[in-house]
Amino acid sequence: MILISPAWLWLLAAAAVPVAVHLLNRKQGKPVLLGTFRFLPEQTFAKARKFELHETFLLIVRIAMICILVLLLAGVMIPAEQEGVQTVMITETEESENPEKTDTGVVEIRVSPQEVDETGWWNLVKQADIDYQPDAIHVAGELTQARFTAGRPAMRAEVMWEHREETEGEIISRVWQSPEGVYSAWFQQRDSTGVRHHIREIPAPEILGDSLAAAGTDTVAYAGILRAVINTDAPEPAAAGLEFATRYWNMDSGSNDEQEQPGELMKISAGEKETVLESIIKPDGTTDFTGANSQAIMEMNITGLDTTAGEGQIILRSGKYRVPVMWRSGDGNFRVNGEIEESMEAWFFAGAGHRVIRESLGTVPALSPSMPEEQLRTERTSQGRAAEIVAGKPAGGRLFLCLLALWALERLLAPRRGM
Amino acid sequence: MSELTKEIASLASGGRLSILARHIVDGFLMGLHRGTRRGTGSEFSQYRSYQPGDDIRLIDWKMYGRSDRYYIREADVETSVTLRLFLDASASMRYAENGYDRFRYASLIIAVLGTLAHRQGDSFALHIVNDREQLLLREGRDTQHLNRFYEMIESAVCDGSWPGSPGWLYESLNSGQRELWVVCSDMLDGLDPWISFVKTAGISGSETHFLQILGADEVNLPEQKMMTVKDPEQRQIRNIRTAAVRNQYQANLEKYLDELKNRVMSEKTSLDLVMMDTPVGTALRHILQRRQLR
Repeated sequence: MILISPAWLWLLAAAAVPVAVHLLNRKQGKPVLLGTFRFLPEQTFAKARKFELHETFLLIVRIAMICILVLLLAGVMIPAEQEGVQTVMITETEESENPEKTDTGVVEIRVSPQEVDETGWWNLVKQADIDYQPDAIHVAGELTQARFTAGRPAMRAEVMWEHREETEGEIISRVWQSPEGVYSAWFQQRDSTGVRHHIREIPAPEILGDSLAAAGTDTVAYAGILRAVINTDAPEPAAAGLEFATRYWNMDSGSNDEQEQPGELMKISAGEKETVLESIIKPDGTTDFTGANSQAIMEMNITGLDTTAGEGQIILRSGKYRVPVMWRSGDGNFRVNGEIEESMEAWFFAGAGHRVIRESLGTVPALSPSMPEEQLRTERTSQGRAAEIVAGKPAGGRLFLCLLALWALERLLAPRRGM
Repeated sequence: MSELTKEIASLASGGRLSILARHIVDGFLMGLHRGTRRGTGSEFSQYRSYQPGDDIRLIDWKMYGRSDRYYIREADVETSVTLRLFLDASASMRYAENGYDRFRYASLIIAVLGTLAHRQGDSFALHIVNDREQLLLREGRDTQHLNRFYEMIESAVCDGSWPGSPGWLYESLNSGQRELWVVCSDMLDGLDPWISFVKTAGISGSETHFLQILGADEVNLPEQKMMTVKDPEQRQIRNIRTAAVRNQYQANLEKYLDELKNRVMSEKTSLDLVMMDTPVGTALRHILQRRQLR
């Protein structure tokens, strides 16, 4: 039994009210006129017991009415009967086949390496989660970091990775320095649930000049100043989002008026390299900084980036849920497709800013800042509850009919019994 | 039982008395007695010779044509009866059961009897009586009288008790007419008023029928464990536990009813107990059938 708002259950204490009424009401019935009054004998019997409970049936009816009312308010739902797909197994093979369903509640999905390249592992996993609502997803495939793209979304199912490369420990992807001389490094840690990224301050590493260079197989250092300038004319959500991205990267951000050009949102300087995030051109040709609540395609121009390393679209396969996504189009621009709610605007700009910053550093487009573990857990449970609530049937209708029937019964009984 | 439920519904819903009464009378009541038809009787009994002073309208001209003498044609004139109805309007009549009160039930009985009398061409009178006021509708037989009759019942108010002394009756006593008295009451106010009433009825020489109307819950107390009751005159309220009280109560009541019956019943008087959940038609039919057998 699921309740939409269990807080109402405290109202069950009100079921004590009919009991109190019944106990207190033993003397004050409505006086009935009796023509044969004078034939009643003198009252010489013992007094009634103090807490005699009469009309128990009426009392039960009244208590039941209150309970049903409380349940109605709390929103009882009957959980939907699901066929219960327990496990989805995603295997990377040469041929991609349609998903098969075996009898024991296990669905096998085969994906080809091209699909993985195009779509990204996490998107595949997320789609499987949405489609089948399983309890667990097993992923088997050649998991290299290169294929480990896109953000790790929150999911209901437990995801288990079986990968060939078992690398443990942390990998440092990038290091940079703020003007105050503080070094920050971007760490990737792989565990059974995937790869986690975080950025934290480190003691001064080995610095190799001021160019982007790779030292060693898994340590890259970059020395120089990473700075971003955000246009003061940028509208509030854009500025807030971009500023968040810069803070995440421990960048020095400022609003410099002299480099302002109309249409510039943010300019990033990483050493000698400059990357500019420019304004948005709507499909109808008007220039606007914001594309909130638009259903059309939004384009953001980026200059200064190496566009040859562009990748294809990253989209979710057509599923039940439409999520607005951002991708790099063939001409090197960011494209956003779908509706953006107003509250999500800033986040989109944060995402865009983040991506641009990453790419300006020359890093492989990889995971966005990951959600902390607790948040993920809550997300999982709330998504699960939400899924249950969406899939469940409200039991309110039947309860309401019961309540009506009980009320009619109570009204029938009460006057007859003089209560 | 469907008769009963229909009647209860119509009584409880406050249908017009005239309509309900006519419905019952039309339905299934046989005559109170073989009534007269309007005008002179048509059953031939005998001829008698004309005496000066007789009504010349009664002369049989056919006989004159045959015999050249004046003869009066005589018929078996059936005696007409004046129905005198008494409706108790005391406070105890306000006792209610099944959604209607005793007064309404009694009103319906009275209305039915009045309607029946009117149908048969008898004259009827109505007394609506308690110790505060005693309303009288003098005998009559036309339709206007019937309408006044209905109105008087419908506008009556219950209060007080049955009058202790029968002084209010005296002006209605006339030894000329043969009368049939019917009293609708609960007769719970005490023996003495009824004894004196019976005596007065005896003086008038009328045949008297008492219809004592009681409710099922009055005879056996209702099922609920605790009750709060008040007396009809609103002076006292008592809380009673029905189980503990029932036996003694029923004994007292029975004693009273027996004594009442003994003191009231006689050659010319009958007393019938009518329960409020009996359909009016059925109750009256039983009583009338019994009367006709006598």
